[in-house]
Amino acid sequence: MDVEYLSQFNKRLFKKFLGVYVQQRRIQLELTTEQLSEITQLSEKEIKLIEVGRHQITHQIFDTLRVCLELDPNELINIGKITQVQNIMNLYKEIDEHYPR
Amino acid sequence: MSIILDRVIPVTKSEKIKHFIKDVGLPLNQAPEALGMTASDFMAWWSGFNPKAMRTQQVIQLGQFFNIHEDDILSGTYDKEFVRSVLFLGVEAVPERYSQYQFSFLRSSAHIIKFLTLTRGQHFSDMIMRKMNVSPLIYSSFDNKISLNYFVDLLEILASNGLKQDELDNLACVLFLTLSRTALGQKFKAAKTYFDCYSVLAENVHLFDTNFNYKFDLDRSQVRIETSLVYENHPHLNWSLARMDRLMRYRQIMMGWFPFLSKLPPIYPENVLKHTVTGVEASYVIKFTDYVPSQLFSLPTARFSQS
Repeated sequence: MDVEYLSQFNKRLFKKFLGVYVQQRRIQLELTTEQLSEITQLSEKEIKLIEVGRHQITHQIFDTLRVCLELDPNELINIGKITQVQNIMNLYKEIDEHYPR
Repeated sequence: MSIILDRVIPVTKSEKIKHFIKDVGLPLNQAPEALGMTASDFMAWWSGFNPKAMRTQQVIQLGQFFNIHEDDILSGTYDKEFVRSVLFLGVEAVPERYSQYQFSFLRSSAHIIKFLTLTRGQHFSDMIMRKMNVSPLIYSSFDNKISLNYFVDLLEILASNGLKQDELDNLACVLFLTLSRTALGQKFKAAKTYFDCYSVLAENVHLFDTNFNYKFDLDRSQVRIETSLVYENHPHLNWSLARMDRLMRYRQIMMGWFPFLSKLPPIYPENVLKHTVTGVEASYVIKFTDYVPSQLFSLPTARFSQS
């Protein structure tokens, strides 16, 4: 699963939604940020920044989180598609003058 | 007069919770579970020995137990009858305004809750459900039915909880979140053309809701969908024009996004909306040649099919 591909439509939104999902999974697994930091070898600060969608998601970070938190591939695809929806809606607004606001 | 003077008006959080427990008739042997406390902690609090044991976390837990918002408990604005129905009938109880005239299927709103969970977190979507006095467990089956009031209230509550119009518009586009892996989703997925896609919709529209009357006029170049909601058949509805407009805007966008389930670009419908004395009529025309340029829709979703 390629993070570049999933986030191609809107990287900022993808990071934001992924952060929400990561935090949700961490809480589901009853892990503290400190414990997740130990498991993933990422710093606690990085974990916190990821959860608020303010950390760059490299391939390595994405794969680490995906494996350690057992992120559901279908949910990751859904998140990618949501950013696509947002992208299409934004473009529609620009090109489709007859669409009522 | 003496009765009024004798009545203790709860002031502190602890007093308010005690008042709530007495008011709704929560049995004391169930109260520790409802509050998320141990029996001994509960007894220490109830007897006044440790009033500080009642923290915000306990109030939230109590709200979750009854599918109501914690603010309603503290302000005393909860629906007592509803709370008692949850207590004695179980978590699948819904307020009366949602249990009458149940002509909508929950599949028509399940994607919204899923969207909120993915984009704002479980806590936010649970909070929305509690504000509506509904348990998230009602989505255990998409075939469960509910009143159209539920859907209208959901949009209203989301708007009042910070979702901007852009985000409300997006809600109408994410049907795939819950439909794509169902039998109905597979039917849409198998459709290769707009004609096929809207044929699937025409055959299955009753699986979404039966509040509206539908008439499909479909050919290879376009589809015209005429819908009507007759007030006479829905005496429980009591909506403002603003609430109705929000619903109809949602429906307009949604009508254009079914092709997304078939991996086709969505097309915004031309829409004619009429408010009449007898109800609301909306006519949507979707011209299949009006698709967006291909560069706007370049995600080859097939690549994602197996990860």
